[in-house]
Amino acid sequence: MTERATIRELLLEASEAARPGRDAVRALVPTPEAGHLGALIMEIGETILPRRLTFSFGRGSELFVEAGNRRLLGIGFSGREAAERLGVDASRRSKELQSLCEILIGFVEDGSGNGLAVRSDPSSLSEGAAAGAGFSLSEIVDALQATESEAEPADEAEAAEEPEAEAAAAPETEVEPEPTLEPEEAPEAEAEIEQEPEHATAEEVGPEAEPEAAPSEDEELRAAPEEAAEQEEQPEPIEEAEPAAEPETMPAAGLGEALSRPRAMIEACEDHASVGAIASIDGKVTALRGDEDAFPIGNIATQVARQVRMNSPFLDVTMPGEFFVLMGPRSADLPSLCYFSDGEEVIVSTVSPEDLDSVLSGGAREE
Amino acid sequence: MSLDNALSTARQAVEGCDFVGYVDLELGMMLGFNASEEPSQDFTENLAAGVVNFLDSGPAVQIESDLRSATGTEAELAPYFQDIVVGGTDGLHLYLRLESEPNHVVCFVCGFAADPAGALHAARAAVAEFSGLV
Repeated sequence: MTERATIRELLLEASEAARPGRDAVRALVPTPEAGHLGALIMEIGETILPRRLTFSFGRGSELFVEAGNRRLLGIGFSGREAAERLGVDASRRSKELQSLCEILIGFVEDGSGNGLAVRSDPSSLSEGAAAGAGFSLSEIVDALQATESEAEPADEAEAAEEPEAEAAAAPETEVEPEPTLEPEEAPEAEAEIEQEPEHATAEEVGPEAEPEAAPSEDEELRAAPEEAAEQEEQPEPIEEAEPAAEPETMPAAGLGEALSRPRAMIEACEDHASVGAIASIDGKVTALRGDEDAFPIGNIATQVARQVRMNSPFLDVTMPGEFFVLMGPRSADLPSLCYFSDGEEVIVSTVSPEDLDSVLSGGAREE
Repeated sequence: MSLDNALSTARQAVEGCDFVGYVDLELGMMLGFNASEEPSQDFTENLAAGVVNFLDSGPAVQIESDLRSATGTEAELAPYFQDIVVGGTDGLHLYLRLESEPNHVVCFVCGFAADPAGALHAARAAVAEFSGLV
């Protein structure tokens, strides 16, 4: 009895400690061999009690799966609908498995370039239902391999996917996934994601980037699209980006198009800011303005990218599309922080108290 | 004044505001709201989670810490950020901490035409009324 009471107390404590909303969405680290597809499969493989796992890529599409007992039990596309149960009807299993693989591959392809995140909620399936049917990881991995080899890469885009699908077979050798990949690889990769941009920004870049400076505003505006093109060309596997090129000096104004409110506001910030940075949504700093030693704007941009990644599932619902954020300080004499995100990169700068009004009026709409 | 009344008054005080919610950062939950149209549960849940992420997530804490060291305000205990303006292509959100209770945040969701400066000014005044209500 006392033992049971202790367990109950522990469970109650644990459930009280669980805070809905906070950390509800976790960024998943792509596995070295299998990328996002591997991370997605590993997540299912780590799920023992029945859960609804909602995977999302930045501002892109969303996919949820019912998982439990290390199996994929059902799948759906909108959180409001019930999952379609899979693998229940023996006569349809192979067809369902094939469709499932196509969905998973398509989902990962659609989201490439953004970070994969997962939200875990209680499953709508009962535990009894979760015990049987569905597909085991080894079944899914085998089928992914088969799907991939059928779809022989005919062009570059497909070729780029190949390593992912191949590597999705990695957990297959162990049938159940617990094994080698997660404990060793995942934390490492995570650490790299978080730290790599810091090296690039704080230590290497700051001092060198600074003296370049001061092209005319026209030159800077023209340089912006070229920079964007350069960034797109980079294949950007996160793990290999370590010794990456130095961030360039940030242009004075990077957004010269017809201005939406978010763009108008960030442009108003850029007009006044003495420090600023641009980072990819993965947190890699690509441009800097100001002295990083005096003001760690590169590190801040990395954190902002992380925040945007974590927030994207929520903002997709409450504020879809590009957006601007102005974070105002408690004390009126401290600088504010502002940033813009279009889901692919973030532009970050500070705003002095004197410039706050003009930034805010930059966001006023004329109807 | 009750929370419901305060929410209703706050919504009317900010021009173009369609929704006002009260979020507890510790709980990660919206404790109440007032809206011109009944919002979906999905919306309120995601809004609350978004507010928590903006103000109290790992990155938010790290950003605060970086800013504190850059501005020489490491010794201050109060949160660095007091209010957040999020401007999208078709809406404007304002998240304001209570002075007296920094873990409580009032969220204003305004439409396309809202003026950020005017809305922020009005929202700051309205938020003062929430002190001590929860």
